[in-house]
Amino acid sequence: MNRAIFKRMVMSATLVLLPSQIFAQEEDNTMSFSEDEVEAEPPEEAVEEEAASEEATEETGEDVSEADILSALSDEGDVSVDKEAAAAAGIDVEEKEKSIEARHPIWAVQQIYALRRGRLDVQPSFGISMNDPYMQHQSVNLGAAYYITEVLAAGVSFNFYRWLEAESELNFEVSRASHQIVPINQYFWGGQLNFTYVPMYGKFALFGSHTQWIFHWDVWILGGGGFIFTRPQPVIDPDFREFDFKMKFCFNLGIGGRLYLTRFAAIYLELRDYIFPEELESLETFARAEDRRDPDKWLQEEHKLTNNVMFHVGLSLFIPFTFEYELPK
Amino acid sequence: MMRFILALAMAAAILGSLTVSKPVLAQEILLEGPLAGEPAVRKLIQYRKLRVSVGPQVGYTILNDYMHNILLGGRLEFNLTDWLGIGGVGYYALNITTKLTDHITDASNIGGESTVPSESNYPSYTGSANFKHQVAQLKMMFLGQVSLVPFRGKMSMFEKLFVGLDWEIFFGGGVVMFDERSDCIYTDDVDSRTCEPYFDESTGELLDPNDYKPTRDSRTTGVFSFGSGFAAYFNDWFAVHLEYRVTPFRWNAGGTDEAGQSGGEWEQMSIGEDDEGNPIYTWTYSEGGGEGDYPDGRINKDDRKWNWNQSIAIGFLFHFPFKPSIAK
Repeated sequence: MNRAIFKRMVMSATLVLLPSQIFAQEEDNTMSFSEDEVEAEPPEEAVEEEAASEEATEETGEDVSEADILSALSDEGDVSVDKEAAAAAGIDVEEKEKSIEARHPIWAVQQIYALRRGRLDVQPSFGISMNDPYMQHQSVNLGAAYYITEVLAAGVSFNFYRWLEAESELNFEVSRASHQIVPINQYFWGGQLNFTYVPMYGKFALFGSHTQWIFHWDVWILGGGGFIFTRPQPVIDPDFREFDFKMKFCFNLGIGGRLYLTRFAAIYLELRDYIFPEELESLETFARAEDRRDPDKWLQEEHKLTNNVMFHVGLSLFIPFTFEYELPK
Repeated sequence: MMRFILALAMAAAILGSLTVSKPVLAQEILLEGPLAGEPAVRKLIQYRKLRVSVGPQVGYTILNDYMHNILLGGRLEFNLTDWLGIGGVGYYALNITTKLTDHITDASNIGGESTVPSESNYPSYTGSANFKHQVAQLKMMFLGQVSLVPFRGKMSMFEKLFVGLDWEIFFGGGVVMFDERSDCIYTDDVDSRTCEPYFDESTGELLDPNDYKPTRDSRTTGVFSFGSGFAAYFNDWFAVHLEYRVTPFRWNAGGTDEAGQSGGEWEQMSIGEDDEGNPIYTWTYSEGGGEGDYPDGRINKDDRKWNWNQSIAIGFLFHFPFKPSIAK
């Protein structure tokens, strides 16, 4: 049997027979189509229904089958009809195009706005720390994640903090009032390997049903590990102490969301917690200059597990910029 | 220079993305297809329009210096349309000391005893044993607000759970009630002093910290407030609500003496060397030659500083009547 005719028959039979049985949101919320189902011979009743449907179409001359519409729509959504082929088949193309616009079908399941599978998501961003009242850490970041599936990606990200931090007035005020000083730290840069999972996606209509604007979005969670270079900024005994940047292992967990502007560009917000064992300057001071010069006495004995919660704002750029849907709408 | 280069790179990246994005627009199918000119949504379930929503909220303040707050309260709102509502929130605040407050409270001198104030920092500091009693405590917030809901949509979670969703921004104002360190004066003019002395003037001996334990007065101030939130509708009348709120107001969060510009200041200065040649330091007051008037020796309204008072909250919202209207 001709493959195109066979597919058309299966699709027509499905469209005709199933609407009374299957709703857009089935009670158990499950819909599946296996290759076996598609390849299988159509049931006898379906063939009969298809024939009846075609007869009805010919009689009224007004209707267009779903398969016609599907074949008439290109991947980009433009209406493009092979007029020569249609004329050879005795179809009035002008009439059909008019009919399509008059009765545009609404599909129960629309295509995902921007496919992710097989694309590289490049994310330049700017970040500010959210949980350090003494030091405002700021960073420029670059991330890249390759989507293995529609919802799972593996990637890397880098953060550059150096020269962007700003010490808050709090430490000055506290030391002025109480003569107590809180150890603070500087960050240089860090890098991570991450896995990203996209559990949620959706779309927003701007001002409800009053406008034509729809924005698509998704939310991801991510986690991974890497390193970060940090050092204490000497505040307890700055005349004698100085520290070099040292690498620490760093884990990170985060949640982010993006609003698509196009099929390849989105703006995104992300909250990410970088967790690492931090070295802190020792609070202990010494009277003897010899002790003060001893680097072994400059640091606290215990590392402190530090959470550096950063808020990132940036762009999400998918490469390649274009993609093709595997199936028509 | 480095910051300039980084800013330039970011600007170029943003400009570049906007430039190349022109050929592919988010609304391309809608604008070019047969539905061109039609509304984005038909038969929209209007979860908000002409409905009252009410429910409990639990919040938490973030980036507070001296006291974390757990906010317990509720939210009541009437929505004139699906995108415009008026209402308010009310919170009662529980106070929990921050790590900074604990750090100061646990501070001890070289002998292992709690630190005490001195001439250089009293009345700004009342000693580690008293510090948690001098910091301000948030008590209650009552805020009215107007909510705009520009985005309305739906989402899928794990491709199994489908819920309605909207995103609001809100702004308004109200009152905040809190306890703040009582005003007092401790200057060289002994007769005008109202702060309890921290040492016996006749003997010069330090007093027990309980003898000069600071007190707090209740204060209510008007504030403005704004923020943003999401509501996820799990059925026609029940939603989970998440919000981020900023409520800036001035208060003396640490109960410290902050007013004035530094001019005179206390400096650690070397006054000689010991037998082993190590420097010996002492704290010395220096006029500094400036016009600064810090410290002024007064705890009063001049010591209040602006604080963003950020918070996040999550809550449940029940909508009445239970049945929402449907748009055309």
